[in-house]
Parts: sequence; structure tokens; C-alpha cells
Amino acid sequence: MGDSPPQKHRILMVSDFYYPNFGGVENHAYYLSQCLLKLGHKVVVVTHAYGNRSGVRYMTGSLKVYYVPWRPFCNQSTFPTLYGILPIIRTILIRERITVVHGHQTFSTLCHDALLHARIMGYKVVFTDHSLHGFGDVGSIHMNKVMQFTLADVSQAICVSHTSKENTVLRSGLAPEKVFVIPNAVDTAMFKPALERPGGLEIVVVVISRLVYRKGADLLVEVIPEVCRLHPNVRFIIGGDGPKRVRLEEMREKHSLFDRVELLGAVPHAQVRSVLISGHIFLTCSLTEAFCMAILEAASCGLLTVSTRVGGVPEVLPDDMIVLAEPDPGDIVQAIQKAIYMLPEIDPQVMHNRMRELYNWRDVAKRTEIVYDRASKCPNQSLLESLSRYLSCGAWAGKLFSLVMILGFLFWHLLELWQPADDIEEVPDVIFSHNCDEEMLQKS
Amino acid sequence: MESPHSVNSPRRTLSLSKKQRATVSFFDPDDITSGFGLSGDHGPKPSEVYGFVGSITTVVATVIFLVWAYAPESWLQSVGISYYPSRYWALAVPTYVMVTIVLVLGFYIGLNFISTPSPASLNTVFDEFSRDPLSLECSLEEDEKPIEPISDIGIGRINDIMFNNAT
Repeated sequence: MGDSPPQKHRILMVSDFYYPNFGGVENHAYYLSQCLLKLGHKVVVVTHAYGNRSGVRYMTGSLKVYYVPWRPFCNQSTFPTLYGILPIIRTILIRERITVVHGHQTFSTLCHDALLHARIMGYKVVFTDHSLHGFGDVGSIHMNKVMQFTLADVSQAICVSHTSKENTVLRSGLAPEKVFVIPNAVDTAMFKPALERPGGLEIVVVVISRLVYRKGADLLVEVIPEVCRLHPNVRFIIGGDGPKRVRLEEMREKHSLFDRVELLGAVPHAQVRSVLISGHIFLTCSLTEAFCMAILEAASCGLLTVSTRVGGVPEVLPDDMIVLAEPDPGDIVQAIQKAIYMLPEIDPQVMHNRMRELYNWRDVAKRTEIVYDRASKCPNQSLLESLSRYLSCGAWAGKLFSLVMILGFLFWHLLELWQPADDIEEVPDVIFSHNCDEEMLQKS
Repeated sequence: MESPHSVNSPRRTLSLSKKQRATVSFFDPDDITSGFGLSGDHGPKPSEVYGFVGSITTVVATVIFLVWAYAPESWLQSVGISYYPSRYWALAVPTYVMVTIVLVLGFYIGLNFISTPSPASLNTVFDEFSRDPLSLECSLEEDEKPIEPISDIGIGRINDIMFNNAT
């Protein structure tokens, strides 16, 4: 059959993690939204209120963000109430005439609730998983069960690496053909190498990450003294803050490395580039990663990367742009030595140009558009057909999940009686043309 | 039908069937001093033992609870069980838990209503995180132009665009 004209989607992105919070999920949702808007789709974001930031905001490119007044409960996630968010999500879906609901991140309670209710109301649902999770600890076991519930009836899912896809499929029991692999990307125009690489005999190793256990700060404490001992011309710049910073300070004192290890503290994302271009090698010691955005940013700035071989990291870069090591201090030290020997052959500008072709947010947006098209073509299913899928989640859990869905269905119909969809006013669209850019330029 | 889309990936020859299965290891903080080496060759992993024991414990505890809650007193007497906690708690504790959960949910939703700013509040349109748009560089090509950093568009401008058809 003929190719139908490209369909313009109206996407609702839901996550607990959004600006003014900063992180990989926040950046992903923002950049993806901007590129989808440029492709002609309409994007609306729903997140919870952050302090005084509550209500509706219009952001760059007419991106509309609903800061729902819902208090965060733990690590910026809201408290799970199952049905508490249904009335407001329903109102937003109707007002904005949404066609696809896109949830982000497993640990976002708002995301799970919204996906659940969108499925009850018959919307197409897409889920993006940004993290790897284990199978053995109590938190992961419960989270996997919740994911099995919310993803049992999802239209399509996206993972940021093949390792992440394998992890998500195993955890949630999702059909593998429903899961797409779309990597993160980097704004290569923002992360450009310096016109001149820092010269001299000195070699600067840059580390930018949160100083927490998961990011391997303890490995860093053992690696840095050894590298400084073996190579007198190596210096370290460490950006980021966290509970493990004290250990790094103690390491500096213990080995008298004040002149060779510089601790910057928290680095705003706008200043990450200026930190990166002051170095030659980028080091990351994460113990678990679905995909490492920092590696992309460093490679886009022309830095050779040294990383632990965990999760999806081996998939990120070609072999000549990254040196991989096991998460072991001795192996990481050897990898850094190998990187130092490889350094003369690295041309930052060539590396940047390759990154621009490999990882581009516009490419990510086009792929996500394909996922939305596939989701739109999925046939609609009635509640009874969905219930059979929920029942297969487990002997007892399946019945519990089905009960939750039935109650949600009844609650939705109650809301339909109380406030019919026809009575809810639809929001006029904000058409942002290129003339606005020039007008803003004149004003400023 | 859809035309096949080229996959823009640095590892084009990636094959899931040939790829070695990735081992996702989560280290216990207490094991830091003993090094980071994997110890898969030394008996079952502790998490497996904990899971097994936990599962059996749950089943046994459930059976004991149900017997205590529902079995007639004469049956228990005949088996030889003459002392057990008052059966009142078999009803009271679950009810307490359920009522607590409902009240917590109600309290949380009420807390959210309290934290909702009023329609006339300034915080619905402005706050300490609001950012003004930066001046744009039109000279760059479309593909070269970076994605604009995050910023807020003022409500006055939005109203003009939305209702006055201003471009």
C-alpha cells in the first residue's frame, strides 16, 4: 500500500524528573521535546511542582509544561496514590487533545500512574527506560513487579541501549519486538572541542559525575593516587558533588596531591563544556550505566574516554574512541596508561565530526517519531482484552492488577459522569514561527 | 509498507544472539574492602539464599496467620495449642493497617491541595527558576545551530500569540 503522509502527533511527556531538576532524564526529555517540536509535532510535558514553580509554563519553542501541584515524596518522586492523579491527567489529555502519552524513567511514580490511566482511557502509550536495575535486592524486586504491571499493556517501549533493552525485557516480561533501541544523543553544537588543545607536557584527566557510590567514587579514590605515582605529568580535574566527596578530600590529604587533583564541586550543565575542553582524557568509573551521556559529551569535545565496562557503555563509542576496563582499580589504572599512550594520535576535531554524525538529537527525534507511528497503528483494545494480559502477570499479582484496572475504569466513568469530556475546554495551539525568533532578537 | 530505516549506530555488526550476555553486577558496600572481583565460583549468592528463605518464610507466616485467624478453638485445643495471642488482633491489625493507608493517602492529597497556589498567585506565572530567552544567533546554519537552552516565554507574549493571532 502507499505510504501515508507523515502524521503529526500530539505527545504528552510524563516524568517526575524535569527542569529545574538536572540529570540525564531531564536533558533527554527536553532535547527530545525540542526536536519533536521542530518536526511539527505538539509536545506537552507533565511533571510535579518544584517549590514555587507550580502551574503552567511555556518554555523554549512553545513547549508547554504542566507543573502539577503534587508534592515530591522521595528522591523527587511523588507518592504512589494509584488514582490520585487520574482526574488531572484526564483533564490535561482532553484539553490538549493528546494522541500519544510518553512516560520516562522507571522510578518516576507520576510516569507509572499516568501510563496506567492513559491505557484505561484508551490512549496510545510509549515508555522510555533510562536505567538498568538489578534482580536481587528488595527495591529492585518490587520495582520490577510494578514495571510488569504498568508495561503489561504498553504500546511500545524505548531503551537507550541494547543492554538496557535486555534488562527491561527480562524485568518486565515485555515482548522484545515491542522494544526499540534509541540511544541518547548529545547537542554537538554545544559541545565543541577547543580551537587549541591544552598543550605542554601535562596531561589532564577530567572526571564529571555525581560523587556517589553508583558512579564509582570509591574506585576513583584508589585509582587517582596510583596514576599520579606512575605518571608525574598527569593532573586530575574532578567536577561534581555528592556524599563521597569527603573520601576524595581525604585521599588528597593522605597522598599530598593538592596541586595535582582539583575538586570543582557541582558544575552547572552550561559550564560542563568549559571543564571538558581543559582536559585530554575523560574518566568515568560507573558501576552501572544503561547509557552514559557524559561519555558522549566528552567525545564531542574531543576527549579520549576511559570507562568501566558496565551495562550499555561498550555500545556507546567505537573502539578507537574509548578504552574500556573492568570495574577494578588496577584495571582502570592500566586503561588510563593505555589512553595516555593513545593520546598523540587523537585529533579532537575529527572525533567531534564523527560524534556529530553518530549521535544527533534530530536523529533521535526521527526514530522516536517512527515509534509513535507504530504505536498509533496498534489496534485499540477493550478492557477485557487488557485484563487477560494483566492476569498473566502472576498468580496473585495478576488478579490484584486486574482489580486495580477495573476500579480505575469505574473511577474514570465516574469522572465522565461528573465532568463530561465535552464540557472541558480545549486549549488553542500556540503557533511559534521563525518570525518570532527575529522579533525576539530585535527586542533583546 | 514502511521502508527499512538505516540504523545510525557505531557498532553496525551488533548481533544480540552472538553477543556475550552482559553481567549486571551490584556490589554490596560492605564488600568494598574485599575487592571488586566477582565471586561467582563460591557457592550460591547471598541474594539467592535470602530470596529462598524469604519466600518460604512468607508462606509459613501466611499459613500460621490464617490458622490462627480462622481455625476454631476446639481444633487448636485438640492439636495441643492452648496458648496464642488474642484473636481480636487478627481483625484489628489488618484493619489498622488499611485505615492508616487510606488516611495517609487522604492526607497526602489534602497536602497537595494545600500546596496548590491560588489562581491569582504570582507563582503560577513566575518563580525563582524562570529564565529569560537568550539572544539567538541567526548566522549559524540550521543543522549547526545548537538547541536553545531552556528558558521561559512570558505569559504576555503567549497571550498575544494565542488570542490576538500575533505572529
